[in-house]
Amino acid sequence: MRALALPLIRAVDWLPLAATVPAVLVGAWLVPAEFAVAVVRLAAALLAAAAAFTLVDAMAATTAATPVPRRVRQWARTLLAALAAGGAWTAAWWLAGVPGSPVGPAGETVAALLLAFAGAGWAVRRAEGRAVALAGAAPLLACGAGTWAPAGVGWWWAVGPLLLLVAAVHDDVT
Amino acid sequence: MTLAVFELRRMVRNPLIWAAVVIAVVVEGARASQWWPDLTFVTVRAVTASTLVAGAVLVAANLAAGRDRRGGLPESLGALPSRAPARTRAVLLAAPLAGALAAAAVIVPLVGYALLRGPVAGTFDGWEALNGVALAALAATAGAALARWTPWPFTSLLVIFGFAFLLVANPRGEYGGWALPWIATHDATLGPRPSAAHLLYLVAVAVAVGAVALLRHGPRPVPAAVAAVSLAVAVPVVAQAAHLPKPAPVACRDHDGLTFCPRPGHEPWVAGWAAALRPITSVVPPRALARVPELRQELYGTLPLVWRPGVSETGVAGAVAESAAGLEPGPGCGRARTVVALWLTGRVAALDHERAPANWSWPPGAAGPGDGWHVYPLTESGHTAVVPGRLNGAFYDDADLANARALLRDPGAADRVRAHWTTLTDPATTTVDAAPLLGIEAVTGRGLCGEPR
Repeated sequence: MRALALPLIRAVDWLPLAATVPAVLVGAWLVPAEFAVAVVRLAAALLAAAAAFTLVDAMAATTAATPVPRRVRQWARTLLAALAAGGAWTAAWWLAGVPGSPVGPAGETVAALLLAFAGAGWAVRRAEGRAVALAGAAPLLACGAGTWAPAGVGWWWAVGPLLLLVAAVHDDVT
Repeated sequence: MTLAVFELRRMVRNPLIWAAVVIAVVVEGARASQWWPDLTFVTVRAVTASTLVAGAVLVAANLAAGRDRRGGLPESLGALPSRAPARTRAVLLAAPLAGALAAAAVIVPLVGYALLRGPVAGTFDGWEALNGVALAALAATAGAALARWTPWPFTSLLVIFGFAFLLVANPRGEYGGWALPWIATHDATLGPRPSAAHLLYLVAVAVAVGAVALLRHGPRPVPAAVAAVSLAVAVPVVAQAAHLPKPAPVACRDHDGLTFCPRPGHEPWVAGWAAALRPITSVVPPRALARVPELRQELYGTLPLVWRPGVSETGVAGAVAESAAGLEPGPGCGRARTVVALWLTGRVAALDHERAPANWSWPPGAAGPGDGWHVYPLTESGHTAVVPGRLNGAFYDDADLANARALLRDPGAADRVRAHWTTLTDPATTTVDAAPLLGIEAVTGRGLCGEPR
């Protein structure tokens, strides 16, 4: 595990998350209370879009030859990014002081993360380069199109199918 | 120039942009289909929808302008005569054009759909529609500038999500005013928007941002001068932008015995309002309709600024029925005229699922309105009226509702109500007294009227 995690942590492109996490935390801390809900929702979308960039493996052609299956490597990247993004979101939620239960917003955040991982995970199978991870933001923007995606605990229902979708895109390339 | 044509052809074939066009048209078209079209707001909403396309164009332009730095291309391109400034110029020419086309492909169908649906109120503002086109062009030059100044594709997402945040958290432009790229929510009471000035501002900013993209290749005099001149145009224009004078009010007009006072531009809706209220005006005697105050289309007037068929008529019918039956806010349980007023509203919108409110005032600490309360949209910007019960403040109970339902089931009720109108709307007549006149088996309530259950 340690042998897999440490090189992976060094290899992952953390730059988008490193740029987003401080922005999100400062934003959540500074904005007036009336914007708290909007800031926390935006934080979820931004962190998810940034986390998607961790799925890009610049050495995919080389690591394909290693004994560790692709799905393990991609899930390890997913978990690392989800931990970082989830931790930052929780801190933002706490700093913004959103009233009410975190269950609904958290479900939305988990769904946003999985949507971004699914979009980027699908894109990195098809093309190389870190720009392909932009595809992670496409489903997020499509969900928020026109108006603003509905809030609420209903997003937890989407988590199961989305996990299956992420698992499918993380599968070995044959 | 060849390079610009090449980039334009790539952009026009970009699936990301066309997917955004389809999503924007479908989502906004589905939302708009539930409302009567008001061209003023249809245009603003269409431009708001087209910002999704602007986001796609920003990413596409960002990727196009950054293409020569990715995937081993720097080495290949180094051997070619054409240099990086030429490639930036090509993207700066092609991407705004493709973005403008795509934004127009969103705005034109949405406005056309509104014109087809009718009855169309408000006025079409061409400058407003062009704001959407200019926003897409600005997004294109911003994407190119980001690609040249920040080599990470992620920065384009930061800009897009930042803009989305402004749309959601600051929709009325309280912070930033007309200097914002787009104010998504319009308050009709403020007067027409300074759309022409804002269009000039957006175009000037787009040109300035494009010049900034070219300045990445070195401090050249032409881009620097272009940036300075366009900013010199943009800043005073946006500083002076303010809402235009309001149009003169229009005269009230009579229709079916009621007086309708539309806002300027909403005259085409009068016939629709009258048609929605015809189930009431066709059975109420003219002298009782004369008691109904003028129906004014105002922020908190009887007629809302927006109209959602299936919802809005219920609210207006409650106010008209209450005035026609001579009811006043306060307890009205067990009175014949309460049943008549409920029956009148039931002719507009069925009473089958209606329940008398358990509380007639907002319960302390309640998160939302309780059972039997109604929410009616008042404005485009999200103001709503939250009203207890069907009538405009007159209390009733479930027995009155049961009597009104019995009356609704009776096909001869309209003739009997009209024949005995004076007796039925007398404040002293109880439902039990009036049961033979109404031809129903009167149900009596438990005597609670207006007190919380």
